[in-house]
Amino acid sequence: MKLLYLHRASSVLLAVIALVYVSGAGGEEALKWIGGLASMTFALIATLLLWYAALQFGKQDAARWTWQLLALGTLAFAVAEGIYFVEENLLQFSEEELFPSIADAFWSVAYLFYLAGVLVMAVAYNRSGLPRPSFIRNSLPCLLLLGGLSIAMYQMVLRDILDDAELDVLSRALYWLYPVMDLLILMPVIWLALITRMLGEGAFSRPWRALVPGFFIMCMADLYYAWLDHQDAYQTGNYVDLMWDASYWLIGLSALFQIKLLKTVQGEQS
Amino acid sequence: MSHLQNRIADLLLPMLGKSMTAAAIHTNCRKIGVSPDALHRGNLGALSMELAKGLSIFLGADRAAVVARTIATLE
Repeated sequence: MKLLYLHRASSVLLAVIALVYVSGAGGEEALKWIGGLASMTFALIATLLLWYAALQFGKQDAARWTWQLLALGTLAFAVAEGIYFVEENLLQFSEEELFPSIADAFWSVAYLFYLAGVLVMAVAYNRSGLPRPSFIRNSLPCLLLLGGLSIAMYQMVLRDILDDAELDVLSRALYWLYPVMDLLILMPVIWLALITRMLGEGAFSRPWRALVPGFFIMCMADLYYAWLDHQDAYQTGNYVDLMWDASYWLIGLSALFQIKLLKTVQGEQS
Repeated sequence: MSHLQNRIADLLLPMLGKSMTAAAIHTNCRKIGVSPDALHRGNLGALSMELAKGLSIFLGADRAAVVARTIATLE
């Protein structure tokens, strides 16, 4: 029940922050502070919900691993957001000092946790004996989506980064790492989306109905950020921050749905 | 649809939705070597074990086992 109120409070917070961003209240400096603190807060709330969802499963359940890995990934995002906030607002780092920084180590680890989490779920589902989405019917639109995004990303950002002689090896690797990890995560996410569609109105689809758009918005935000950053057009307070906040909010909501689903089933069984 | 198939579908429908329920029953009946229309009480134990594997992805093994026991004892 407390978790439900926590998530409701975060919904109100998301609406308030969206209003602040749209109105530009407080100016650029205030937006940097609010944006940084908001991302960290949403990621921490999502971490709490995801971890609690994981604890509802038995120690041998694949779902426990999935939710735990997602919780650890989101925690790594929260730590990265926190470090970036301190570097940007308290230590007043320059653009060059902000990227790459120690925050990027946590962001990189977060993606690995997310990728591992969705892969554990995908493998467990494949072994479960439940029907799988039709490969023939779905492969073409999926390939078009992923191929289109990959080509757009390469043309708009990655090719220039390859040609940029001023970038050091670490910066170049990180510029490449984020979009590539996003596209890698999108593959199992699209697969989960197809399963969610097969589940239709069934109660089991509810957590995934929030999780899939959460991941999708996060991937789109990352790709948009890569483009913005490459144009030197990003600083905290940009609308892209709201996309990340919304993705943490949705990922937290998916955990809340999972908790409610298990409580409902447990209630019916007892 | 057989009577038992209907009973199983009624149980799974709120969880798995219409198309997944039908597909799950069909796929797992095929696994245990029986047509869904020819299901009888003697098949329910094996079928419930197969269905529990799928349900455990969403519910965990313990809760899925409870649903499986309900299926196995359907009349």
